[in-house]
Amino acid sequence: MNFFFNIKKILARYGMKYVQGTVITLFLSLISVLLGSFLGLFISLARMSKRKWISRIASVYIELLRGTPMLLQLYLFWILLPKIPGLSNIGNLTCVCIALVINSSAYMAEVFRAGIQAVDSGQREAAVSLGMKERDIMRKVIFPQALRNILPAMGNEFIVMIKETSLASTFMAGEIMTTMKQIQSITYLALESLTIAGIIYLILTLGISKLLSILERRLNANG
Amino acid sequence: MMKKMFALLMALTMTASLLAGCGSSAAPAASAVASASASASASGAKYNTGMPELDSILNNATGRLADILAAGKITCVSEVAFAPYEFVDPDISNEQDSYVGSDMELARYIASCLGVKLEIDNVVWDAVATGVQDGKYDMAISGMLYTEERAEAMDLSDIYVTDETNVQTFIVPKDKVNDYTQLSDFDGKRIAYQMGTVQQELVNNQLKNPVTSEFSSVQDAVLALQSGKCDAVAIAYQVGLPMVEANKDLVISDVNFIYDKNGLVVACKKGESDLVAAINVIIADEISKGLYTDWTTAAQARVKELGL
Repeated sequence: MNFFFNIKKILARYGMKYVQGTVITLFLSLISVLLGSFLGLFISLARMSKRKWISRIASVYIELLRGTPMLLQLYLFWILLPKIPGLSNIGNLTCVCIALVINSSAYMAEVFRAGIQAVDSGQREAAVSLGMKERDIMRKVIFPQALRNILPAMGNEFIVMIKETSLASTFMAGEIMTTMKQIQSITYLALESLTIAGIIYLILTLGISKLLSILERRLNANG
Repeated sequence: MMKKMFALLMALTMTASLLAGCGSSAAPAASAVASASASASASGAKYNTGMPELDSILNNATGRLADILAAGKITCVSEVAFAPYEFVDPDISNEQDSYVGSDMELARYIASCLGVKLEIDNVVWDAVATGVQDGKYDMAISGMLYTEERAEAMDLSDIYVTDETNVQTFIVPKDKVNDYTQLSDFDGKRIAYQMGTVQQELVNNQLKNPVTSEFSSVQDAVLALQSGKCDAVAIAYQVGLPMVEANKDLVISDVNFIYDKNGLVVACKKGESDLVAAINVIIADEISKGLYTDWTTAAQARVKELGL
């Protein structure tokens, strides 16, 4: 079979390039989920704030980012970020990173909100009746319980991001799809380079979802 | 061993051809002046590039060209995925150096003549046009053919290479090639092409009732052809040639579009006449020395090596 023979040749000659692409894909998705969660936590708190206008701003932020396509956001950040004074030398990879983090923060904000609101209201009432301060109620009672709802969703977001980062290849961010484009453009073997990229994505997403289900089982066992 | 020797030899010839240009004696002088020009520009800094015409443009530079000289850096955007014009050499680890091909050598030549550093950014074709129109980049060198629409949207340089063999044609499946003997045989067929290209215009202007499908990359269009989603891909001959060599089920049709403007141009943001004038002088110099042909020959040899 010519097809499999070609795949073997590509891997023998350019396998290392795919490894580099995989590392960058993992890096981009990890950064966007971790920093996105950090940012998202504050946005979810703002979204649940009792002050109407704060909650309003947060929900506009979330709806804007969840209601527009990721590719459009990447283009906008790519064009607009360098126009900010002092950021004119910002690189494409940084633009892509910032766009991914901000996009992810909107999704993570909703994940946090759902997780926090899913904690039984009796828990809060009990804490209040014990005379705990509002800050301590959140930190010591609600949040630890919410975390069990949040972690699996965070893992899902990570898997989603692994696939979404492929859009960053529009700006040749160096992830797996960029690698695929570069190999395809010098070998002219489109189907073969795509197949390799597809297999790598599958290995990544299946492997991580397996890891997550193990983690989830352990969390539940300790609950 | 042979491969390494060859790569070394090629690197040497490329460097030599660069040095043979205005880069050798003029560039250091120009850059030395450029670094001092911030204070001296008011009194009229003297550039000495060996090209009197270029010197006078540089000495009276305004707008973007003045910014480039002051910053000591020119930015170039390209979709580095069209061998032999521009492609990424996977054996070179430094990102900037890995952008090779005849267009990339031209970019380096322009930068060295201006005595500034070059920074190349690699993005997809849609973003190349957006990036240069928006002014995010100083220039686009990306195998761009001259069209009237492009001339309206951007400032285009003089043609830096005209390739008579680079006709606008079709890729078709090998077993169907005899069905197409004249342009009208493609009427009503399913034709794929890359969005925003010359091929798009040709298909829609010269074919009757084509069923078109647009792709963001020409490789995707070829993939659609291989999977039977279309009957032919409209493509430039030089771009199609290596594709049919790597994919034995495809061939290039003998039928061509009616097209005689096969000249490639550099694009800048609208209104940057000084920058375009400077680039035009450098292009005239490149044409008189026949450098582009050397770059193409070297790039084609490298692509052969990298292919499988």
